[in-house]
Amino acid sequence: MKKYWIFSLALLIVLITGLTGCTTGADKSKGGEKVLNLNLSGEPSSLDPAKAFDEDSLDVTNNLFEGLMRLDQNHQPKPAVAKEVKVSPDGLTYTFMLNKTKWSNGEELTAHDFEFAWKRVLDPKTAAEPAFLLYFIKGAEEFNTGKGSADQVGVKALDDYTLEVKLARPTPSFLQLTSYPVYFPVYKKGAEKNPNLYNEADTYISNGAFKMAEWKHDDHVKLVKNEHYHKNQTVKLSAIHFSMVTDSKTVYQLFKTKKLDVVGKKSIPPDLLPTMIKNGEVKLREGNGLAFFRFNVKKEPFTNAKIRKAFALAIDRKLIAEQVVGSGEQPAYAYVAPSAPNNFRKKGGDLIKDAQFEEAKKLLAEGMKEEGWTTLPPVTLLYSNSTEQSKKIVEAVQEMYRKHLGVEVSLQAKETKVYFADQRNKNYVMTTSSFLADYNDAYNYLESFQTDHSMNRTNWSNKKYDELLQKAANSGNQEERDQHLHEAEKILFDEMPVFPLYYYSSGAAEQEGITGIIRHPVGPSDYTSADKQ
Amino acid sequence: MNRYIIRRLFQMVITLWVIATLTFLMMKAIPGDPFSGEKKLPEQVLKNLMSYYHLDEPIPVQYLIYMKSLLQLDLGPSIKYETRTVNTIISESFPVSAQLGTQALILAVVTGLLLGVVAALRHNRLIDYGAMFFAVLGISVPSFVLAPLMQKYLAVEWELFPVATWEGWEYSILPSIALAAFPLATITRLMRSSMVEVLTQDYIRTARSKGLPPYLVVFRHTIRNSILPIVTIIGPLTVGILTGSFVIEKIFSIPGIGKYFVESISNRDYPLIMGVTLFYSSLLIFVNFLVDLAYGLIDPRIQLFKKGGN
Repeated sequence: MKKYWIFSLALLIVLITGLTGCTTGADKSKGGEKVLNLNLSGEPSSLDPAKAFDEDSLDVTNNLFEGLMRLDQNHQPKPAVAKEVKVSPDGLTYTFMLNKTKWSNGEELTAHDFEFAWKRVLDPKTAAEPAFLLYFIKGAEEFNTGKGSADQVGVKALDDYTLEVKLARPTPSFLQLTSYPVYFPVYKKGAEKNPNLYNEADTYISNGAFKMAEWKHDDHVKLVKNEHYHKNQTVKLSAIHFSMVTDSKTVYQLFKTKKLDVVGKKSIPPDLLPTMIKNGEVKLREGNGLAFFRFNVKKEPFTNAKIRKAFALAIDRKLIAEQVVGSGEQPAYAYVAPSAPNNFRKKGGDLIKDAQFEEAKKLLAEGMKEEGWTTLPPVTLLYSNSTEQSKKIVEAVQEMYRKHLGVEVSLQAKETKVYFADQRNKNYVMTTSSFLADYNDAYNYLESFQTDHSMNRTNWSNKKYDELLQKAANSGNQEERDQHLHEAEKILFDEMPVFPLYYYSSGAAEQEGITGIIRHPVGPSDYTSADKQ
Repeated sequence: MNRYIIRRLFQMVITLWVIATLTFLMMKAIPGDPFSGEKKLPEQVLKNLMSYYHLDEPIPVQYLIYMKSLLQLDLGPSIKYETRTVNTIISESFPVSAQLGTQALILAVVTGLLLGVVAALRHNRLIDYGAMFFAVLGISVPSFVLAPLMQKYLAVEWELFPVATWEGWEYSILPSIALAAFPLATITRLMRSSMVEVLTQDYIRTARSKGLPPYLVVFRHTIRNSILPIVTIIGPLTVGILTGSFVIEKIFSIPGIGKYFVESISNRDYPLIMGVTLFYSSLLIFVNFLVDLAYGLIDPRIQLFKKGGN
């Protein structure tokens, strides 16, 4: 019949056009072109160096710009735009001598661009989330909170190639911080005319190894080699193509079909991850931060320190890290992760022993006696229902408490934002928690638990702890500073308002022939010296 | 006719206002805020952010501010995508979803009607059973199963199509088919049952007995009379398909508008929640209006407005 003919003809046309279309593809390395194909977990929330704060945004901006310093393979800050740095003996004044470098449009980059950029971040009207990372600078916090003015901020371009920075307190990690995107320079001439120049590709001016070529929102970002980069002869890639695939199964398929050169551990489907780690496809490295639990010390039964300790000791961390999570995480026996600098963890050692069931039972009984309880007040464990994994973890923990303490803990799952709101309003008894450092420094880990800190969220307050943190913040001497921090960490474990579960690990799978990507435990990846065969 | 249209337009505006107000209130009633997360933002930074988005004002004031800018068709800045406005997000992502949706819709309507008609004409024969088998499959296999299966076999194993992303027309074939599966199956079943019923009517027998050629009976009398239920569902179906699918767009990594309906809520991106909801509602209201007009054209029994004159 005629109708069938028309129908099958139509189907044939669709198929043929579909098949012939397949020959064109994503960016491939052709004719000496070296394009690194990477994936972001979605549209980056902002590529403005003042506002970039999530992993994706930071990863892209870090390769578009170059700050005063850049972290080397060993995570140490090395001069980049800065030629050399002079630090005053009291550690409060930094003078940066700059190299003569250019913006991607060929114009000179000067110290004024840095001064402008930092004040732009701190301007309350910019509403930049990472602004607090600049609070180490004198007058910065005041300006950002509306109590001071831009003129009082301690950053000044003495001339075109000299930048003077006055700090509010000695900060040993300041040089490391100047390598982070929020400290990047901004093209002053352009930003004064158009404050939104970093919102679209055609107005994007940067100074890094790569410059912005295409930015199709929700689709891809393409960076190409920047011929005006001051060390452009060391750059081997001709372009980086970031696609934005959110679905982890699709990411995996694209990697398998070699459309992606690198995939991060986080974007691999959780069920495939253990196998890929075992057969060496995913290479692991030390990560940033840790998973831990918070107690609300103003809610019974966790008003009692012995009961808090009992709950901390009844957990088998090794079992959870290896069997329940199973993707390379290390059980955590302290709060500051091993990736923190100056061997902080090695020197501090372990602060809690794993799976002390007898001890836990004893402490629970003692604590209940102290409080005069014959039955334990009900314990609910709040967690976020965002991932399958968090559910598995709390169920394992529930079982451990049932088995080793004889306590029935009820589980309470909440949608992510509600979970965080409950945490911040201290509307919980016990909760799963997570910490990721903003910069790699033990201080950044431990400052969280000062009284009324926005990250404290436990109602816990200890004068000695606050004092030690204050002392550490004001000490310019690394040894002395670490000493205060070690002491503070011990107090944290004596009182146990929180207890650690496991340190995060990072990792990635790469296609063969990809070399030279520099990754750090904290902070974005660096593709400046990457190569593709 | 003009009076009818003006009355309808007025009703449409009122409906939109009610939707906007209810959405606004419900959205503000959800606990949590856009800035609560793992990252520890100091109170001061949080304050700057809150005042930047007017979130520190009382809710009635926020409502008035929003309504004022809405009247100027300004949907405000997105909170999650800090550097983009809701207007640009919609204007950039909707065309992609609309293209994909149109392809899927054409595929669904053309194939669906064809299969439905053929199945009804060959009622209780092999072709009918075959068409119904596919229809049941299309309705019962969810897109999050169908899409990865197509991806695995058609793209990865047999390399007929690209796996994902959005770089050219060939990238739209798999998602179009995946998106069309459900409406195609629905249309097939609806058309078949409606047509089987019409075929038993007296006027069809009359048409046949007066010696009309079979194809004229089918085209002039049967299809025109049995297509009405399809017209009814095609309005909402079109809007649903054009505004994208969260699942399909996620799996094939398509920069469409579908994901914003879901993500804006979990991100508490207030202006974006309002923006996509209002955009979807206006589209739906408008298309329903068009469908009502179309009834009048297809079915003479339906009179939308009194004929003018006396």
